[in-house]
Amino acid sequence: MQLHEYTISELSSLISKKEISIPELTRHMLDRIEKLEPKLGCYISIVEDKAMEQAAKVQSMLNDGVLNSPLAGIPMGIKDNICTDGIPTTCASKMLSNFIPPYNAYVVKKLYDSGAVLLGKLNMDEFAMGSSTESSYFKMTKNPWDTERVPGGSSGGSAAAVVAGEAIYALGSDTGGSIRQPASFCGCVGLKPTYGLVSRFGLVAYASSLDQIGPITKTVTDGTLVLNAIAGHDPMDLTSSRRVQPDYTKALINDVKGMKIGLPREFVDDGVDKDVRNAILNAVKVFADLGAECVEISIPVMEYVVPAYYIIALAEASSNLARYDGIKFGYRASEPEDILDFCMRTRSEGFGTEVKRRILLGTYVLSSGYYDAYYKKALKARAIITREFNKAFEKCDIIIGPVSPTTAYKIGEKINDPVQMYMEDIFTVPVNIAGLPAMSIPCGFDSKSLPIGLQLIGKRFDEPTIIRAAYTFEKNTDYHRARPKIN
Amino acid sequence: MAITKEIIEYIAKLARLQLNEREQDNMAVEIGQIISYFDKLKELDTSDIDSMEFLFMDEDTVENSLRDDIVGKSYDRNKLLHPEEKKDSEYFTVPRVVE
Repeated sequence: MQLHEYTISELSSLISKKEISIPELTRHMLDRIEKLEPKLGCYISIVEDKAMEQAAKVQSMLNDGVLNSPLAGIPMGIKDNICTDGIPTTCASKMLSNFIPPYNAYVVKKLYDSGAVLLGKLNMDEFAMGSSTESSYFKMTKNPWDTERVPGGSSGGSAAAVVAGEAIYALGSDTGGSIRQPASFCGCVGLKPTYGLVSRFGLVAYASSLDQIGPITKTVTDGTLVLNAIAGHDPMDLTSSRRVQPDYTKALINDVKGMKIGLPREFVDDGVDKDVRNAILNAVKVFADLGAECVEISIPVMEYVVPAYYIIALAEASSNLARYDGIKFGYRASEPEDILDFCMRTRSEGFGTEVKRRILLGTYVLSSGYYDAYYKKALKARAIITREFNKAFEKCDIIIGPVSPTTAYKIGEKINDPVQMYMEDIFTVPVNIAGLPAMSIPCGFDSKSLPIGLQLIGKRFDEPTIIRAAYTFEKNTDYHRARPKIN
Repeated sequence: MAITKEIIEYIAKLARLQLNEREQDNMAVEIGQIISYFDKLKELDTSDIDSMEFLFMDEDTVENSLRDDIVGKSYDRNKLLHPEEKKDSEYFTVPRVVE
């Protein structure tokens, strides 16, 4: 087995037993990246020198006994919409192609404090707007299981890098499924924490009431280790929770006896691919065989979740992206006639088509005459959807279902049909609408040998229960061990 | 309601975006399709529902959070200035706004 195939917990133990050194591990990962990048295109920038410097520094801190974290010396990648001091943070947009943040995001600081080694910044859909990573201004990321297919998105670079061994773990962000769906398409573990659990300070804003940062990893244990490091109250984020955060590794228990697992009948209806549906029903059986009590539930408002989500997300996006005027940072149009021409040309030349489309839609639903019919209506729908999920949780401890109705599709196959693409977010967006935690874990393969993801949704701040269920599923199945043959 | 090119032109102006003819035509069609999909929401009965303007009102996350008024450390000016500004410039420059 090669070093890039190990998990965080395995590498951490090899490092502490001095069987490998951190510089040696980091060098191996950088070589792996160099070899695979022409095929996969996971990274927007690679910080080789900084990574080797950090590796040496962390090694000497470990040797001196001043650092004690399971993440110490583990090489990782960060989605390119999370600010890194002195390292470009582009959001995969021409608009921010020259932006070098003057500070670290809260999560980046927390990871550095844990001794993490940053390899580079990962590709994504422009401003996280997309589900396939095809809208990146810089490059296309390929799915490591089949390089003619998309890795999912918007955190496509993060998921592809983890499963291909170009990073041991990665951070992504999830506004409507952007961690869970690429994890599902690439066959790894993605965790979207409860809204408020992880600080958004330093995350470039898309839709502020929905955005959350979370880990993408090979295993549930690894995701839990990263969550432990990045969760916690941050006074720089007004929506950051003040709850005392538990040690999530205490939830790594191989036992679901008596746990009530709800399967909404709307999650396995005709809109879901047959192979995906069968894998989900098989997962239900796995849980039942392990002693969980599986109950059928219903969430009758599912047909309204996608329109409600997009109206809210795009309204917030149009207002968040108003800051890109070329003055303080980002792309600037040349030789402007006046200030208005400067602003309009900067934005028109700096943003790609999907971003423009979403800004226009968001502006439309907020504009005079349409505000009540669309935006206000969507906020009311949000209250109903949240209530429906709370009601469903009276009958069960967690809800399970698919992450996406399909597996990874061909590059270019859906990019020209925005409505179809938006509709495929149906199982991920309600989680963000209601601010719930959810995880995607591997649960099977379709007839084309592409990975299928199982989604586990929990009550607000009840990460421990979904971690326990996911861990139990992983311990009793082998899907998470499969790796794409890419070299 | 159909989304016309005139509507696209109007919202583009509000959003400070300039679209060429072809972009306007495409956006009118695509945004029209998406808005008619959004119209599905009109079926949902929301007559006795308050809109959820703030997330999770009953939770600890929305407590008013004010810090003490203490002078903090400032960022280095050169790091904050736009990369196209002259080195050691003290200001952001914009096109002339006052005649």
